[in-house]
Amino acid sequence: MVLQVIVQMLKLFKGKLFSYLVAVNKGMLFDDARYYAKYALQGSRAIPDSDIHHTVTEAISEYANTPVTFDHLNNFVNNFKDWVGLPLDKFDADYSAGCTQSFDSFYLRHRHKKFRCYVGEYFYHLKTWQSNNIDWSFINNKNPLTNGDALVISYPFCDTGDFWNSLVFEECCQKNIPVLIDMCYYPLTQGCNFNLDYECIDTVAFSLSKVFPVANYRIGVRYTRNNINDGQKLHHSINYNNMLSAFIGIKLIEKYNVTHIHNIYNYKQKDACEFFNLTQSDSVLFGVGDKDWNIYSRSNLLNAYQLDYNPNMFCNRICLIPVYEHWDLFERFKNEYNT
Amino acid sequence: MNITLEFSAIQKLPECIVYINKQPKYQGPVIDVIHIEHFDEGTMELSIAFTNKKPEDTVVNSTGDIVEDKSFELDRIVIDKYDLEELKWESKYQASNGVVYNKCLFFGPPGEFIIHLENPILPWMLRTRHRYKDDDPNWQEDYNYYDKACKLLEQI
Repeated sequence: MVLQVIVQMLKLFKGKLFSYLVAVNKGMLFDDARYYAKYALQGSRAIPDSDIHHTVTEAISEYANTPVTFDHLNNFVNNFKDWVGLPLDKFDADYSAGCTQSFDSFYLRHRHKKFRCYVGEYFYHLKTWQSNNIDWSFINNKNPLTNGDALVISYPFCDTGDFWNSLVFEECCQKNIPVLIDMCYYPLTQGCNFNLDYECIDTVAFSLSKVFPVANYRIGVRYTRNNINDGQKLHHSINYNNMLSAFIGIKLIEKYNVTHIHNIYNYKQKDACEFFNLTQSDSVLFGVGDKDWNIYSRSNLLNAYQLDYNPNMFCNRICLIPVYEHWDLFERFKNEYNT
Repeated sequence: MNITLEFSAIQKLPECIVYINKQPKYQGPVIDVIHIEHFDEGTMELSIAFTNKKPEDTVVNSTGDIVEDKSFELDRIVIDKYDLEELKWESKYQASNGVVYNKCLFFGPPGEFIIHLENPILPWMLRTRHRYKDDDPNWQEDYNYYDKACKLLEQI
């Protein structure tokens, strides 16, 4: 309780104090510690799990000694549907450089439509649309979805990492609005029953970047309707994709099931969220903070993307990776605080 | 606190005494790096006296230019791993003849380099920087977090 009293007396914020504690534990001097503490609990990146890192390293080594064939690329793409365990049989699968390539393909194919998304959607969309003078707007009561729109939506939702229920797909079917579903956070959850039968669903995009520390290898899979033929599908059909990345991808999905990360870190997420007064997200990377967490708003990310929005528009989505990475330190901190 | 003084351009074996609050901490030849320690918290005066400079150490040519001299320069002050960098200029050089040179790190004339610091050094550095640049209004708050984290890490 001594620490608790000191924290209250000095009006220190537990989350920020823990960030500084990690930084000091890493041996950082003030300026570096300050920088670390400012950014550590923000963003979304994969947990740098040492076992997975080892698997990736082994895969790269094996690839260097493996005759190059297209089998691994095709196996990765073909097996991915079973790995995620979602009803994607009615879609064609092709390789995607992360989810991002799928986004770009969707933008290009629907370039004559107006792009729409909810507040809190991935900033990449906003930045790309703005920078290229593409017609777009947020969905709200004054600006509902309408015929001629193309919808980009994440499931789980980017702003919180949570699954959502809505009738948006029915509405999109009625209004003939093509939908891209960004499911990059899905492998961070325990899964769910998700109906992908809606005719409006044009593209479903997955990536391994958020679940495994392989973001720079750009590993993903895209699902599109059979009648769609674009550059990305062409690349897949002529085996013009990144073989090494697909090789790493197949090794990862062969070794780890889709809920592997969630199963490992779920209890830590629960513990950390309870201690820091966060709402547990469906995605194991995150907790969602109230206004007390405004110092960890999206302001830094907005600056990085050069987007001019009020950070209060978005949820305080807290990235728990520093807690997972320094679990022993977190437990010592928590015990000291509660003792 | 651990204080490291780094010198350069050391000419003709100059000698110095390093004082903290008028108490000598080092006495001897000026060498590239001098380490000293100080344990008392609070304000402190760090001074470096140039002790063996004599008029005959300065040799001038027929046009009055100095061609040889006993001298040295203070390059860096590092305290508890923090390089004072530009804050080393928050100092003065008080020559023995009474002339005071502000922001002078060159030990030419006999005299004493003086800088007023604090132990711990970090809040002094942050406060002083903000006073000049007016760009870090949150330094005190962030320092409190850092300081608390340092103490907490020793404790848990």
